[in-house]
Amino acid sequence: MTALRAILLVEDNPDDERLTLRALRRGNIANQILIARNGEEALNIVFNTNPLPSVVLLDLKLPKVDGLEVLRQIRTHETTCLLPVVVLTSSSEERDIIESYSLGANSYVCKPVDVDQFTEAVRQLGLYWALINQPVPEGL
Amino acid sequence: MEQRTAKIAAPSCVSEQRYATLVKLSPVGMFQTDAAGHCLYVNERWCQIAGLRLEEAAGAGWINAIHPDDRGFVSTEWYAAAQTNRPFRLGYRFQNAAGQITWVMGQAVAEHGVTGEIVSYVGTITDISEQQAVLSARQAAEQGLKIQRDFNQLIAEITSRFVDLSPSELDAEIGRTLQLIGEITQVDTSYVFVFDEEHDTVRMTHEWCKPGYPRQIALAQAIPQPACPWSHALLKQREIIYVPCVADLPPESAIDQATWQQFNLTASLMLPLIQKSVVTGLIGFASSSHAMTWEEETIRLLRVMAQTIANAQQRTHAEQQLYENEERLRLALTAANQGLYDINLQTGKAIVSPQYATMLGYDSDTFEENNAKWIERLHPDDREPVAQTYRDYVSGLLPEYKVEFRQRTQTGEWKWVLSIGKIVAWDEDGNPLRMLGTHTDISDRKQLEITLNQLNQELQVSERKFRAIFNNIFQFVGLLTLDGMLLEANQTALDFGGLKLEDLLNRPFWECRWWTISAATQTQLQQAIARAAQGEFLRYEVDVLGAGDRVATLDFSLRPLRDESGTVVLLIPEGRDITEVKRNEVVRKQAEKLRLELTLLETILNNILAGYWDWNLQNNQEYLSPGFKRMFGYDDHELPNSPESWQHLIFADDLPGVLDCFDRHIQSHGEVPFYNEVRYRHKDGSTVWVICSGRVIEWDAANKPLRLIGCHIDITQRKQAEEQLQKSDTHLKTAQRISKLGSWEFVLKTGQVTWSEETFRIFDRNPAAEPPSFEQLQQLLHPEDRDHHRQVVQTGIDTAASYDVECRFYRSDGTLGHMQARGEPLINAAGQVIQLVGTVLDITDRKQAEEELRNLSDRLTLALKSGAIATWDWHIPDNTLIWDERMFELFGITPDQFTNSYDDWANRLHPDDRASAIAANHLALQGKKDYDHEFRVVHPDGTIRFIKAYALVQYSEQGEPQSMIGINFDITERKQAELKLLQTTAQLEASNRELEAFAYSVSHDLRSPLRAIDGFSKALLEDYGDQFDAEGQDYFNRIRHNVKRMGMLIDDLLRLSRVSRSEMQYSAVNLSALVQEQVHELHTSDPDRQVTVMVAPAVTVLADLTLMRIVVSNLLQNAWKFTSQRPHAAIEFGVMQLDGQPTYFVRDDGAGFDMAYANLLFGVFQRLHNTTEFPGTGIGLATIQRVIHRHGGQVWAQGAVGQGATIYFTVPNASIKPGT
Repeated sequence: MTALRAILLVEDNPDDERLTLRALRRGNIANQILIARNGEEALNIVFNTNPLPSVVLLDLKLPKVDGLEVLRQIRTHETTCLLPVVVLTSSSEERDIIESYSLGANSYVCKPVDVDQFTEAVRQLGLYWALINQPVPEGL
Repeated sequence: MEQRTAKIAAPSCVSEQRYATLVKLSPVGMFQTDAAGHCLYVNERWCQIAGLRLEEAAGAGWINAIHPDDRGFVSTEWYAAAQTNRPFRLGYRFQNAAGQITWVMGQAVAEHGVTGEIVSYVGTITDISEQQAVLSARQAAEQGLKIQRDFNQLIAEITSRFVDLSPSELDAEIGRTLQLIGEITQVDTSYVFVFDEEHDTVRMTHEWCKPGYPRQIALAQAIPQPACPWSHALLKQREIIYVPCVADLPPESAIDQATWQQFNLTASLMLPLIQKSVVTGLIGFASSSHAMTWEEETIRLLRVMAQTIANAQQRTHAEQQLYENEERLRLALTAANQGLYDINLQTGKAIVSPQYATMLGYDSDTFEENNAKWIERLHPDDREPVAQTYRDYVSGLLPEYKVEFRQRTQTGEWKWVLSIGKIVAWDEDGNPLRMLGTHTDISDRKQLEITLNQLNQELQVSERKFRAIFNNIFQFVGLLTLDGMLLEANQTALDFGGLKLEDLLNRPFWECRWWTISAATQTQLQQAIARAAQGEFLRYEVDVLGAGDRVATLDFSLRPLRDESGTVVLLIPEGRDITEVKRNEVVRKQAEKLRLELTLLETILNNILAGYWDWNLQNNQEYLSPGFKRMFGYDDHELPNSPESWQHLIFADDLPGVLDCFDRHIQSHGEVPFYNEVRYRHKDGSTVWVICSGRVIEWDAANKPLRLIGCHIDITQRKQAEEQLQKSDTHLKTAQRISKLGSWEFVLKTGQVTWSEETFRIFDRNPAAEPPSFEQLQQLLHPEDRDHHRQVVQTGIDTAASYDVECRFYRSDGTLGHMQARGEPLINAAGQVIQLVGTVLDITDRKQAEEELRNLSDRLTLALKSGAIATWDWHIPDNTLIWDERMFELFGITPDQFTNSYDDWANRLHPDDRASAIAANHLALQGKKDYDHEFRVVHPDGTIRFIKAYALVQYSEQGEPQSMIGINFDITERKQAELKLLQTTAQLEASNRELEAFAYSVSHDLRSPLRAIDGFSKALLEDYGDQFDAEGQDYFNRIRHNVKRMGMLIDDLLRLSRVSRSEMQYSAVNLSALVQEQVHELHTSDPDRQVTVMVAPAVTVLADLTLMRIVVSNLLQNAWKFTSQRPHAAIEFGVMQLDGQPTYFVRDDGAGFDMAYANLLFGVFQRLHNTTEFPGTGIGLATIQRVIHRHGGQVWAQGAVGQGATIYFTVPNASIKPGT
């Protein structure tokens, strides 16, 4: 079994960051959690981390570089174009959903307001993307 | 292949239809009401806007289309406009049965009758609620309307040119028409064919071709009619052949197809030319390169035009025929050598025809005639007889003036002339004023008569010669009474006796010297006379005494002469000196000479183609000369010499006249001439006209004719000429009938009216009846025309001037016709009019055509006026403009402020628009671009108005632009509306963007804090729960409950916002299925509930599926929720008809509501129940209402507390365009 790859959480809201981390923890996800608090940081981490994270949990509404732009750059960059990206956002706007998928998001999850549902959602995401899903082979 | 088979409608009906089409084409609603405001007509657009059908709008029904709140002020303004006689103009709302509201601009003007009273209102309504959509649609429709209007105008112009076209211009005008129509309909070629029924062919008579297109008229001169059997048969049935594409024709037209392809035609339109119900040809338009489409209206107009051309052809044809007949008659008159004269008997001045002059050897151009000159040329011997005849005619003794006389020709010869005349005008004292008549050259006939007279004289001469012979023969001849008194003795006898007749007359014959030779001789004679007186013929030899006592022996005879009854009346003594036998030889020779002379005479008669006859009435023996017999085709031996011969040959009809003439000749003892013009049957069956004249040359003592001698002259040629003349006259009458031209006379003094046959026919009256008097004629006229007619006629009489008047008249069957009456006064020497002569022309057809044109023109004018459309005409050669009144209004000036120059117009344009407007004019003149332009004009007071202009360029035959005719109308309001609309749209777009940004923020930013509150509350409970008592834990639950509720509120608000913003996608939506789906979901999530749900099957509407799903789920969830307190609930989905519209409903038997608060139900956040009773955000019904409204429907609720609620809604399909 290869070493667990990190999960990159891109989230500007500290409350949501805390709740997400808590949910992951309570879901027994042991992977390293990298945190980016804006789009710029997210891109820095993605382009400078080896091996790549197993998944990026990406909020859309971000300071500096917004989430859709982050996604676009990940997809256009040779080393990161296959990186799994899950959009995790408060928006249920149709246009955001369509735009995200168009840019190559692997999944789109709307953050429920109800914290029980939220916790369950984050737990399942972590479980699936960090443990069940087979990542892209290294060095590719 | 589309086939047009519209029959020819009545003219008025056609223009009605045309008018209907005009209004149908317009982009605005049009209506017409009577003076009381009752709707007579609305066009389709009006119906569309109002949501009413024509029959629903009729009468006072139209008011239902107007929004209830607006009805009051609309009628107030309507009556105010009608009272003050100003145009009605008002913006107001229409509301259709589905409740849809349309803002319109209504305009109307009054239509006035002939006496100025208002007969109707014509008006328009323009949809101004959806300016943008209307604008583009209207531009397209205006473009179509413009083309149609240009076309209408062109047709109207063409048609008007044909109405009074002179025959010489017809061909050019048809050519020009083919070009104009050809160019405007963008065909390659246009042409006219005529049908030649005699040769079963068709022939092209006119052709126009687009530049570069080959002319085919030379090839199309004798195309057999069977070449196009299909189209030909249809055309003959007066049908229009409309072939958008030759290749698509049905199989039965295969032959036509082949023929057309031979002429390289791919599309064609052919219209029949109909003259007097007979199809005589066609006018066609064709293309060789592309398929063509013509509007039905265009075809209908072309049909009217074709009829106009056919009418003009017909008229021209009739005129030509008339002209030819006139020409023929004129030729006939020339051939008959007849001249005409018209003499003013007061002044002696005469007007004569050219033949009159040439007959006398004068140049007809310079010849002038008057009474004095005529008398001077008259033969002196003829002056008195001619004058006598004239006097007798004027005094009434003679029924006609008919006289023969000699006139000296220019070369000094005498020419025999027959003059027949009639006095046509008399003054009040009965003096003749004017005489019309003819001169006929009868020199030839006279020559014959003279020859005949000469022959008669020669016969008399020979009679004298007989006498001479009688006297000179060497034989004694005498005449005695029955008692022997000497009446006559020939010279031979007298000379022999040396006696004188006077000495012997009435003395006894036996006492004369001859018989005094002895007493016995005297006694013998006396006895012989007595016996002869008894009828005995006696002959004996006797010696008689001569002069100088010479004795001669006579062969003496005494012969009794009997009358018709056989009674002896005279005795003829005759004695031949038998002693002088040698003398007898001489007598024989002299008789021979006499026979030779007679033969010579006969030869002369034969040579001049005359025959003579000699009828001995005593023995009924008749000699007929060989010439006489040859005249009838017989040789001398073929006809016996008897009266039966000619009595057999003469026409049975003519014999009684001859016998009658003979009787009169006898009874007058030769005073009345025996003269007849009669017909004989030639041996070959033909008719021979002869003059049969003669005279009795011997009478007995009782005036009984003994011998009739006469002559036959062949006058067949002259008679044929006369017949020809009569035939020509008939032709003239026929021509008059064809041209519907009647004639009449009106003698003022007596009031006597004479009508020609055709005049009777025009008035449809019996020609056998008396023509109407002037007053009766007045009654036949249309009441409105009577005064005018009377006035025109009276003026003609008062001023002695000819007149020309058109009026309407009633035929005997009550139908109305139009006539053109021309009158010509005849005046006496005092200058008074004594008679009117004139013509009457039936112009009903022309008038109807004119009327139709006028109607069309009036309606166009009214339509222009109603639409506040101004018209102008730019005359290019002199660069001037002609404007109508409305043009001046558009430019804000009075007519006197305008100089009519092109520059003046240009200077009144907004400086920024001037260059482009002038450039547009030039492009249109060069034919590069249709003139369709917008510009601004600056009024003298600085007001700026937007103008829309359309125009049509007219070219000369050389292709030079001659004029540009166009229309202008004010589009300022439309422009302003456009501008305002643009601003509003921009504002709306901005606020929409804001709303979206807001929704986006809400979606993102409002949820996060909630999640944090909920999340950390839960974290507190989970991590530190043991530090809180039950109450503390309850507080946390309350916090989390409110967070959930807040989340739901946000979600619902976002949904509501999305409902408002999303694009509508229409499709057929099965509401029943949606209901079932939702019910299934509710049952699944709440399986313990006892709810009976009834769903009407297969209820389908045309709507947006996503939005309708929101409606259905909200309604069902509400019903489910509000029945939750009932152990057994019932929910129903159904549909019912309400005001003719399907109305859907969801009914439950739940908690219900108080109707007093019904209007609050659909407001956002409005709730009638406590959330503890029934949970909810209060946004559901607001969302439903938003969805239904977006579909153009209505939603409302009905209910009572504790008795359930019903929510009704409509989804009007009619307001939806499927597939958009």
